[in-house]
Amino acid sequence: MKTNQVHREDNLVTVTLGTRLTAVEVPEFQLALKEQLASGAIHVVFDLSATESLDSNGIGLLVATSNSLRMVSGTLSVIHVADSIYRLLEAMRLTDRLHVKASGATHG
Amino acid sequence: MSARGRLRGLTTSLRPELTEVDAFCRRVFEVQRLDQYRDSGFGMELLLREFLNNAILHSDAPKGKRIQVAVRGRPSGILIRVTDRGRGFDWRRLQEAPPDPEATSGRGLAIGRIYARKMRYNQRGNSVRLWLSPQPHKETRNENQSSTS
Repeated sequence: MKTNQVHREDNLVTVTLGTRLTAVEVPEFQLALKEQLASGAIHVVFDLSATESLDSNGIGLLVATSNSLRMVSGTLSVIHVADSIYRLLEAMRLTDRLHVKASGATHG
Repeated sequence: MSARGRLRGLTTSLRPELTEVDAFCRRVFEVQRLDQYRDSGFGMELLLREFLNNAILHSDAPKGKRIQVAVRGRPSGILIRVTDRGRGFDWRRLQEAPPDPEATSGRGLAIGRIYARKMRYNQRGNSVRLWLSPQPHKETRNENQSSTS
């Protein structure tokens, strides 16, 4: 099983998620991202290529990160998103705000 | 519960801890992925997580009180019931639309409306029943409703 990883390069942070971003995993990432943003990161990429489950707590983390980055003119994107998760984020009206890119070419 | 079985029914109680939700979802899907409802997997897991998490994180139940959960497979689909020991909440004040995109919380019930064919709370608001069709997530919300049982 692919595990969660946070990789920093200059002011870019890439968060590679495991199979889930749910209420159990969110506190760990909240802390890690808070530290990264406090130390100057202004671009964050969430890679969901291995992620099969996302719940409203996980969505809350993505939105909170986006909100924080907007305050410092930073950027957030969510890439390699499975169709089922894309549809969930679409239903929540978040695909534009979070710059969500699906795994396939279907959603551009 | 055998992994060779069908998703006829699983009724249990969980400690009010988030890791219990993970364990329960695994138990359900050991059976469900071999079952006629396997195509409903994402929506079913999402609903289980949302409403069990709600009971754990937002209920005012006395500390340590267990949460009742039941999942039943029926010819018309799947029925999920989640009940906590709290005083409940006023589901009549729920908003129809998903929250503002800037909001960092408040999406659980919107998800219920979208992914469940029907969602009903009891009068007190501490027990919810969710019906899923055998098919995966449908985009329409027209059939969803919140009301008393």
